[in-house]
Amino acid sequence: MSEPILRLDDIQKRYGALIVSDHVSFSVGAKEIHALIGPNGAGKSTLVGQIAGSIRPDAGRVVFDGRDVTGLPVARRARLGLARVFQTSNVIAGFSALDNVVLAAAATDGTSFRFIRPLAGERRLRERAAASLERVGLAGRETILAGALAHGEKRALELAMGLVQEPKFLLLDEPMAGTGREETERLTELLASLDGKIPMLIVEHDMATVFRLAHRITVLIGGAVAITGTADEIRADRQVRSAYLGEEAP
Amino acid sequence: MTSPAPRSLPARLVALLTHPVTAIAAIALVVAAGQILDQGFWVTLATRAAILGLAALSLGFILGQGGLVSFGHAAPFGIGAYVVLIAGEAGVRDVLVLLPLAFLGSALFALPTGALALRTRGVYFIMITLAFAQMGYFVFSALSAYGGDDGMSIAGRATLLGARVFRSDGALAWLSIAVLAAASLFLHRTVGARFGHVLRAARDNEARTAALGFSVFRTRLAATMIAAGIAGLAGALMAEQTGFVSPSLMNWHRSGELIVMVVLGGSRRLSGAVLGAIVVVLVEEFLGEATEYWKFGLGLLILAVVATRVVDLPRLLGRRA
Ligand SMILES: Nc1ncnc2c1ncn2[C@@H]1O[C@H](COP(=O)(O)OP(=O)(O)OP(=O)(O)O)[C@@H](O)[C@H]1O
Ligand SMILES: [Mg+2]
Repeated sequence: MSEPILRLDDIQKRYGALIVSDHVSFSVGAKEIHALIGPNGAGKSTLVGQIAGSIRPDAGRVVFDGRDVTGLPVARRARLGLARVFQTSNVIAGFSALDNVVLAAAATDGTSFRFIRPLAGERRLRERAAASLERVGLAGRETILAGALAHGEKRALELAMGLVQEPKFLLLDEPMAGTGREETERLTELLASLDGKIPMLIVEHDMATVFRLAHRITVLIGGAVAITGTADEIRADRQVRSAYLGEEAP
Repeated sequence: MTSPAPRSLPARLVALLTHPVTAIAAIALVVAAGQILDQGFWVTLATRAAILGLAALSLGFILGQGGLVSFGHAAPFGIGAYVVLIAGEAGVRDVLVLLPLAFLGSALFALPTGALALRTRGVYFIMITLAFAQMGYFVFSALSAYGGDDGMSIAGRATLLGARVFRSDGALAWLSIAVLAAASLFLHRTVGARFGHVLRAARDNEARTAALGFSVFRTRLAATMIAAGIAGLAGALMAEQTGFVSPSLMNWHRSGELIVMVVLGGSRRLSGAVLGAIVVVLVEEFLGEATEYWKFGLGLLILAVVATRVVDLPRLLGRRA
């Protein structure tokens, strides 16, 4: 395998007495879809935050695209090509759906310092944004305020914001949470279509989705990595079955 | 940010009232009428409205678009005035030098103070901007060479390429209106450009904006410096108009008054600030003499505004924000 796009190296984080990241180490390959699963409160979102840069680890390193980014702020990591979809819908509620994506596209230039030309006149950005909205199934919803979109549409919008940036890596924290079954399937297929093009780390509770997408899976329990392996290896693991999949060990 | 065509009469009225050109045109009309009818008082009052409108406009930019409630905007305003005083003492009197100098001086003040203040949020931001302005107040109070506590008269009105055109109040009024119009045009462009979008996005959702890859801090710092620079222009014009500069220009009352102007006019709309400034100047001039309660009322209003940010003239007139 070539250089991994993301490598976590002995990440440690605690909140008071609570250990949320317990010597976490694993990596995501350059063409890999990697799923992160684990029970509620296992520390998945905290780990995602440490990868994105919104949370600082107490110890350990985050290496992104061959570069130690542990000390870099969120915006710098994003400009290096790390796009994030939050667990709870996180859009600019007062902007139209299209403007949200235009803004995301604009961010890839890495600067906010354009003072005179109207954003509405940045044609290339708008075309890219409209195409991205269409890709996630939001064609025709461009002018709706993002805050007024249905929950599932907001999730799709976030994905459009991530995709328009043509990121090197997608960090997805339960991107399908709270969407209907049909929408979940559509978004899953969309992510599957990116297989081999954009590597991802996806936190997901729905095992059908996980098994459909992931090349490898890391199971996090109580902040620590219980196992990293392929779907078959995970299915076969007794510890995971009893602790997480909720099945009786055979 | 464009709203659909308004239908009802009050809505149309508000749309006209809040159009960016309306308030500035009204000020210009009063100046023109004052000159034609030889009413010097009108010209003076309109100039004052233009100058305070300029200061309020700049505050409205960071407060409304950026969500940054600065309670210290009188500081860059006062610094602009002191630039005129100090440069004048040094023999620099040309307006083409004074105005850029005032802009720079105030913007540079905002670089370190803004950088520190922007590390805080919410009520702490309000307090720290207030604290910086008070520091400015005391620093200039201690400058005995420039009048200390009492302040000092400026050496004389500015010149334009050596010509003493601004000896006339009318010329100064038109200069103030021109600066106001230019600043208004620039800020309106900026609001619609990428910079304004990022500023608003960060106001609505800072985490999201940063995760997209925008440096929220740098964007806000730049906005703060631009706003301070424009407030500095207003302060310089104020020094020209009154011919007198004192630390009281940086008093916290003035910071509060600027907030009142912005919020009265509707902080979400950039054009509201000039309208709010006109209202406050008129109330101060005509009701301020009639009743001693004005200052007390203004104080209460400031508190209400800062505490709730709900007073919004267009909204009171029945239009959604
Ligand atoms: N800022 C914080 N301060 C204190 N405790 C925190 C903080 N953030 C998270 N926690 C705790 O850390 C633990 C891990 O939280 P985290 O959100 O990472 O879990 P998760 O695996 O994403 O759970 P879920 O599946 O419910 O999203 C939880 O017990 C949570 O209560
Ligand atoms: Mg979570």
